[in-house]
Amino acid sequence: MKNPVRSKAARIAAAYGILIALALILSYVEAQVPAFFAFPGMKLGLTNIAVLLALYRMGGVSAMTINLLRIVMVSLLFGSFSSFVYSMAGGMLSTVVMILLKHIGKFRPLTVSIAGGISHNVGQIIAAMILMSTAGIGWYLSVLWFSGLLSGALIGILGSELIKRLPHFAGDDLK
Amino acid sequence: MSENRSNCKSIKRDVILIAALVLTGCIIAVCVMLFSGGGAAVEVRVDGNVIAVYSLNKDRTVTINGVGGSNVLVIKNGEACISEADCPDGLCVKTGNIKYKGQSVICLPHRVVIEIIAGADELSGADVFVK
Repeated sequence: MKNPVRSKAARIAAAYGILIALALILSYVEAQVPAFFAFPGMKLGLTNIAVLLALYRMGGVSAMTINLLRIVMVSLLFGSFSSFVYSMAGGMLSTVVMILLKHIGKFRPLTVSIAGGISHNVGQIIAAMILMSTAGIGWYLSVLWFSGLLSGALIGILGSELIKRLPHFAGDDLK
Repeated sequence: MSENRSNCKSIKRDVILIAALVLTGCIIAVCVMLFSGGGAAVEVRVDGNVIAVYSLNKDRTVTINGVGGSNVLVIKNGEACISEADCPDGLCVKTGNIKYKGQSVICLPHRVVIEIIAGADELSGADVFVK
């Protein structure tokens, strides 16, 4: 495989740029889709494609960095304080869960994505319980558990394809 | 090749984990259905403080003054909903009707929460209670 960029550092820097840009765009696209599900909090989690690719091709630290930067930038650009808190709670919990499952459990991207989707929604519910000081939204967990499972599976299928087709995304073929 | 082999090996673990996650979701759903029977009253909170409690047995329309705006609470046929609100996202209106204990409609911009509470016996017949 011939690649014009020979420096691994440059490839990694470019990979960060591409993935953060991709995550930002996907966040924006997702924000443009009006709550197309009956329940607030249900969403596709398109940005998780970028996080998943980072996790499998660049490692846990990169996945965490990209997701953190994405959340901060999206919140500054389009969000409010409460959306920032929700994104943080969901994003951080799901990223930690995905990193643990990938590195310790050695699970496949699809499974990792499903667990990530669920834990994202669990994190958001916990944040909502604290923010609104109500335990009453506990019933909502069952709805969001399955919506996270489904969206995680969908994103997992897409992400797995991407991971398979980009084996040297962050310059693994270079020294 | 070696990557393929390790993938095959881990398929079983993946299936088990996914099955466990589905099962956990079902257990949560069953628990929610068992422990949240129909409620009898709706509690209105603004910024975490209980503003009022209304019985679900009597139809009524109330305007709730939230932080920076208002929401219209409608109680009809044992169900409650927010019918109108001047918040930017309107998510509280989209949430629709609620009637089960623990269900709630939340308007984040106005920091308004309406939540279904208490079985009929717990409410001791009071029709409305305003703090």
